[in-house]
Amino acid sequence: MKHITIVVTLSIVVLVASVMVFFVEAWTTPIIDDYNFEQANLAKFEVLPLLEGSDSLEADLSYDFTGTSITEVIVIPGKGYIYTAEFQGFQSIITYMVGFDTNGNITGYKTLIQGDTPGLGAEIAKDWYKDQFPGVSINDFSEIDGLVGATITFGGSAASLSKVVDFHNSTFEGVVLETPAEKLARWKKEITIDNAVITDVSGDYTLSGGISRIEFANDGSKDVAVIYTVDFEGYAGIVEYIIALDLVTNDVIGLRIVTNEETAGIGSVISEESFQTQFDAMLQIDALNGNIDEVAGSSAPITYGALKGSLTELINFHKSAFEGEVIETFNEKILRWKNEITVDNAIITDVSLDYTLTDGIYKVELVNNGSTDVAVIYTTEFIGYNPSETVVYFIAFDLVTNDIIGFRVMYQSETPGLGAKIADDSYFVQFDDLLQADALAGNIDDLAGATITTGGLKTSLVDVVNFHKVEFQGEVIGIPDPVEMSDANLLLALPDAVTFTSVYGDYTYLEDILNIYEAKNAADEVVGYIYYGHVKGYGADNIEFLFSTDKVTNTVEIVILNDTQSWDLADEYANYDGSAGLDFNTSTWLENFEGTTLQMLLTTPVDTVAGVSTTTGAMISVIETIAQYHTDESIGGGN
Amino acid sequence: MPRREKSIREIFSNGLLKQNPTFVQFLGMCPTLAVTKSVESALGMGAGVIFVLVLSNIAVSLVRNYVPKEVRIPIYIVIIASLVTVLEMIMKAFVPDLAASLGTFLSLIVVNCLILGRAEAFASKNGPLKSAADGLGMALGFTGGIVLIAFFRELLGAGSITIWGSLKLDLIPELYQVNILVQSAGAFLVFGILVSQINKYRMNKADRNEEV
Repeated sequence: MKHITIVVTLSIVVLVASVMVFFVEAWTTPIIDDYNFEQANLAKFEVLPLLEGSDSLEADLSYDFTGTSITEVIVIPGKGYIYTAEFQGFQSIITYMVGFDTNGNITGYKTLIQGDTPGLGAEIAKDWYKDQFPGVSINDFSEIDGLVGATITFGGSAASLSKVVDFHNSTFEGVVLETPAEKLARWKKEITIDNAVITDVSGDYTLSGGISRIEFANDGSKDVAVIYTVDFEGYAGIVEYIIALDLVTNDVIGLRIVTNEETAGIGSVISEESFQTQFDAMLQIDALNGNIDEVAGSSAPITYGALKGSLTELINFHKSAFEGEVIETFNEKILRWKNEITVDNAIITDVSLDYTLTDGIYKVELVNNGSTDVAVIYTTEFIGYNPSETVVYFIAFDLVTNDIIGFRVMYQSETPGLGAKIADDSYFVQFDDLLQADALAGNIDDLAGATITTGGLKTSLVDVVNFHKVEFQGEVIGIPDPVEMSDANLLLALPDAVTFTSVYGDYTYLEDILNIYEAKNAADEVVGYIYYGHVKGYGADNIEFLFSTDKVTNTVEIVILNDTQSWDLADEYANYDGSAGLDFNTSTWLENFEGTTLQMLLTTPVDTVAGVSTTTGAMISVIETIAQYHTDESIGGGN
Repeated sequence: MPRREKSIREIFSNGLLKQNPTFVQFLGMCPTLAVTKSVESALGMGAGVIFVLVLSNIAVSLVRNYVPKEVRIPIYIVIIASLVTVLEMIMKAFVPDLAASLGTFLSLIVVNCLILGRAEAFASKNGPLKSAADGLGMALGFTGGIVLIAFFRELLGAGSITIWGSLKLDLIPELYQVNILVQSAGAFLVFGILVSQINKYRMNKADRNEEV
């Protein structure tokens, strides 16, 4: 009986407890599930707040996202759409999620992953940016503000979003988007005439200069315009455009940018309508010379420069193909230039074989006016900013004045709009009458933003001028004049002397020696020689000194002329306390060099000073060099 | 002389102060040390204990006359475990953040010796009203104890007092915070100091009573 009571009581308690738990569970489970679902899909709830726990968040894999930057779309019937997409920011691929409701409004935007610059591109993940989106129409989000200074990131965001919207409109809103081919056909009519009949005639021409297609626009009775499809390489990628030229006036009728891989917010601005409209009815000469207005506030010299270069090539092509103009060949142009910068009807003779060519100079030509040689032209190459292609130029020197009379660039692959300007006529002008000394001193115009290219040119010019001086002016290059030293200082080195005469010109030049003085007494007898030398101490500090010997090679005095920091480090040595500038002269270490002989200095090296071994070691080395020099050169006849 | 029956008020205040489970009985130490990092979780834990202890005391008291002695403990456990399960589900549904911060300690209320202790020591011998008063007093005493510890730990260790969610007072700048107090060791430190102070007060009182 007792056992039965136990079993029954236990059973009842467990039963009652179970029923209670069951009801509570039935009540709370949906609430807990909702919460967990929301936690797991927080971002999705954030961009589409209408979501409920019961909604399926299965990504719909049946769509083709090619060219849209979309990576995933979730369709929630009756509530909206959640897109995940990515785009290239300034430093990273940025992934974001955006929600659209069924009325065509953005319900939320959230940056999921980004690694852009803090304070600039990274601001895209901040609330101030995403808070602008809810409620904005998907078809007009121009009101969304970006951040000044982070155009690439924020421009990329807007560009990516508009691709998402295009996809959305065509996929879910039944909006029929123009295919790229349809758009191109419409544009070709826009920039020529309505109802134009377009015929591809590319096969009739030899295409060059980036032109990939030539078409005629026919108005039903005659061809009225020609449309070129052209591409060029900009800063970040290929830009393709179409341009129409009137077949009567040969002026530009219109231009459209077809594909543009340039940086969003920078080079990409050439796709803006306001930029393209300036080509409506543009004069041919303006297109040829690149008289193009840049988009206000934009800075994309490379893109603009490349476009201008492409237009020039195109107009030249058109002129030769349709206007019967004979465009001179490259060799004709070079010959014309050489005449331009020297004399007309010049007889040019290649004399390169007569010289040992160096420093990028690879051709030397003499220019004869019919009776005498009047000029020399050097063809030279150097590396500018582009490390893989050299800049090749030629430069003419007058053979009478030896000044420069002209300069032209033959080849260059420098950055369009920057270094490439080196090949502009406006840059050549300064060389029409340039003094040799100015070329040597680099007194030529710098191209803004192209210091490497102009720097390379300046270096190359120095080489050419020096080559010219050696070969045509008979100068010996590379040996500087002796450096003068005051008598007062020289007296310190050789107190017995009265007069000092530089004799360095009679001996071999040595870089360590700035000058050599012969010292004489009042009786005009030689009493010794003073070397004015210099050496690099610690930290490349220049130490200048005087070092004297009597006429029988006994050393007399060493005088340190300047005191730099490296010497101060020697302040613990001997009597020198580093407090009185040039007082290093009082250091007893210097006495190692004084009152001995040059031979002794060469056979018994002086010890360096610990702690300042670089400076003292350099000093020892240069004195030994001078001692050896004195012996080798037999200065004063002695040794 | 038969012992005088205690009044409901006495029963209530007994748990709250005189036999405070935290500082006097040292019951339920595990959650005491684990959930006292912030006032908010201490309050949440306290609320849970109040819920379970009051209801389990009432339930045990109601069935006390029908439960065979041999299986009383299993039955108490079933009752308590069911109540804790219910509590856990309700908290997860309505205060999910708090439930997450209490973590396992919420489930472990089942084995909190305070609950089983009161069921066995009091509810199984007293009527439902008194049992409820005892449960409430004890649970409030426990809550007060852990909130007091949490108050010092959070204030001195993290510089703030979090009452509920965003209702948070930042009082002490980071430079002056004693970081160890919000780590595990800090729980022992604060608890030890508080117990010593309370014992000092109690001993002195006891001494005075003896002298009189």
